[in-house]
Amino acid sequence: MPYEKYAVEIKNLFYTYPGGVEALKGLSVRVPLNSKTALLGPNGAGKTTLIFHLNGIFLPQKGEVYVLGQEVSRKTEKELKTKVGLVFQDPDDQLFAPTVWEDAAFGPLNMGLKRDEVEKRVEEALKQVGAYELKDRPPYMLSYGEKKRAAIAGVLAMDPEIIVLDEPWAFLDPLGQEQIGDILTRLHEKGKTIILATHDVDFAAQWADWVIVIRDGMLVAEGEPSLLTEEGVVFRGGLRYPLITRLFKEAKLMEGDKLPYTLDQGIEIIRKLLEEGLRQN
Amino acid sequence: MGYKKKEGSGAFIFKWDPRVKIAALFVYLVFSLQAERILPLLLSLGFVVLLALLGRVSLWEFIRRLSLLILFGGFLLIFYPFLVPGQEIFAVNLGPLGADASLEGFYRGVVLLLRLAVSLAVLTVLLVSTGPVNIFKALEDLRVPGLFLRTAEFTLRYFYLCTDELKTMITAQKARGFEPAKSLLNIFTMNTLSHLIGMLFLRTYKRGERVYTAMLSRGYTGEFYTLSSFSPQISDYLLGVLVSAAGIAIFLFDKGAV
Ligand SMILES: Nc1ncnc2c1ncn2[C@@H]1O[C@H](COP(=O)(O)OP(=O)(O)OP(=O)(O)O)[C@@H](O)[C@H]1O
Ligand SMILES: [Mg+2]
Repeated sequence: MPYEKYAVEIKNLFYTYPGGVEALKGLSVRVPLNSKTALLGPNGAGKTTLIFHLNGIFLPQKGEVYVLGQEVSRKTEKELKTKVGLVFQDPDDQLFAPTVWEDAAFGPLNMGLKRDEVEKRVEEALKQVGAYELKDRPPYMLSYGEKKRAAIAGVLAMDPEIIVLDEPWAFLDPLGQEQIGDILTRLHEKGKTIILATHDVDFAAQWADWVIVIRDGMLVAEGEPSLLTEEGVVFRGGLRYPLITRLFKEAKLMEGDKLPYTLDQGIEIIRKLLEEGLRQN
Repeated sequence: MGYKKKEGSGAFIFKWDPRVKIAALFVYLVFSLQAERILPLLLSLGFVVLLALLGRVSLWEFIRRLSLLILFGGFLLIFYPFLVPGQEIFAVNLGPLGADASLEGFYRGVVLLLRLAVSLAVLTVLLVSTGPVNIFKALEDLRVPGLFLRTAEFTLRYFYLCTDELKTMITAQKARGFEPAKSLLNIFTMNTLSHLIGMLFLRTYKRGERVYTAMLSRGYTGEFYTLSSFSPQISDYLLGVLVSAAGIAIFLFDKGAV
C-alpha cells in the first residue's frame, strides 16, 4: 500500500525507449508531501523520463508509481493530469496558443471548468508569476524569462497539488532565476509539493528540503540536503559539492560530518570561528 | 510558434461574427467566381478590396499576401496564350519547335488570374480579421467534420513550427560564416543546404512530438475548447446578406441579366 505522507512513491520502475535505450532501471524514489524536492543527476540520468511518469505521459512498463496515494495507470491518468502540473524544460514546447492568455486557459478548459472559473484562474495564475501584462501578447514574441513565466502560469491555472519543473534555470539570467525561485517559494507556502529537476547543486542545497540523486536510471541516494556533503553520494551521483561545502572542506575549517551546505550555515560557522579566535587572543 | 496577432481590431470586419462571415464570404466566392468576363471579375476584386479598406485590414498585409499572385499569374499569362487555340497574336519559332500565341488564350489567362486574385483577397480578409482559433471554432459550428479540422489545425501549427526551426538553423549557420546566397552550384553550399533541409524535418518532427506531449500533459484529449462563444447580432446578418448579395449581383451582371 502507498504511504500517505508521500506525494510521490515510485517502486522498482523500468522504462526502455523505443530504440532500446534503458532510461530507468529499477528506480525507487519517494517525495514527501509538501516538500521542496530537488531531483539531481547528470545529463542522461533519467530525470526527464522519471518526470514523464508522474502524470501518466509515460505509464510504467514495469514497477509502480503512486501519486498522492493513487496508482498511475491508464484509468487514473486523466485525473492525475489535474493533480500534477509539468513545466517543461523548453517553454517553446509548451506555449502553443496565439496569446499568453489563451495558452494559460488551455489546461483549465481541458478540465471542463466553467467560463467564470477559467477566467478567474487564468487571471490569478498570470498575476502570480507577474505575467498579467503579457496576456494579449503572442508567446513566440516574448523574452525567454517571460516565456518561462507564461509557461508556469499555464500549469498554475490548473491548480495542481504537485508542481514539477524540468531544469527551470536553463537559459535564465540571475534575475529571472530569482523571480522563479520566489514564485516557487510562495507556492510551497501555499501547501504545494514542488519537484525540480536540475544539475545545479548549489541551488538544490540552498533551496531544497528533500534531495533525490539518480544516475543511470537508478537511485543513488535520497534524503535531507545534507546528503550533498557526503563524499559517496557526490561521487556516485556524478555531482560536485555545493560551493559552501567545498569552501569549508578545502580550507579544512571543519572536521567530521557537519559540513555546511547553505549560506546561512556557512555564515554561522564563520561567526563562531571568529568569536572563538577573538576570545583566545 | 507563430500565429499572426490581429491587427486593427475594432473595425467592423474584425467584429463580424465569424460564422456569418465565413458563410457570407463563401457564398460571395461561389457566385462571383462563376464570372467569365473581365469586367465583372474586376468589380468583384474591387468589392473585396473596398471591404478590406473599410474594415481597416492592414494594407501592407493585403499587398504582401496578394504578391504571391505575381508568380503564378506570370506563368498563367505566359503559357495560356500558347495553350489555347484561337486568333494568333504572335508566333515563337525555336528551330523545329513553333508555337502560336492566341488572343483567346491571353484572355483566359487574365480571367484565371483575376479569379485567383479574388480568392486570395477573400481569404486574406478572412484570415487577417478572424484569427485561427475563431476560424476553426466557427467552422466547427458550421458542421465541418472535426477530423478534417484537427488535421488542418495541426498542419497549420506544423507549418509555423517548420518556419521557426528553419529561421533558428539558418541564423546558427550564418553565425558560423555560412553564406547561403553565394551560389547554388557550389558543392559545399549544396551539401549544407541539403543537410539543413534533412535536419529541418527531423527537428520539426521532434519538436512537434514535444509540443504534443506538453499538450497531453495539460489534459488535451483531442478536443479543443474555447471561451469565445459567438452570438451574432442583426448587424452581423445584414452585413452577411449584403456581401452575399454583392456576389450574386456580380454573377448576374456577368451573365448579362443586369
Ligand atoms: N525520446 C528518446 N528516445 C530515445 N532515447 C531517449 C529519449 N529521450 C531520452 N532518451 C535516453 O534516455 C536516457 C535518459 O534521458 P533523460 O532525458 O531522462 O535524462 P535527463 O536526466 O533528463 O538528462 P538531461 O539532464 O540531459 O536533461 C538518456 O540516455 C537518453 O539518451
Ligand atoms: Mg532532461
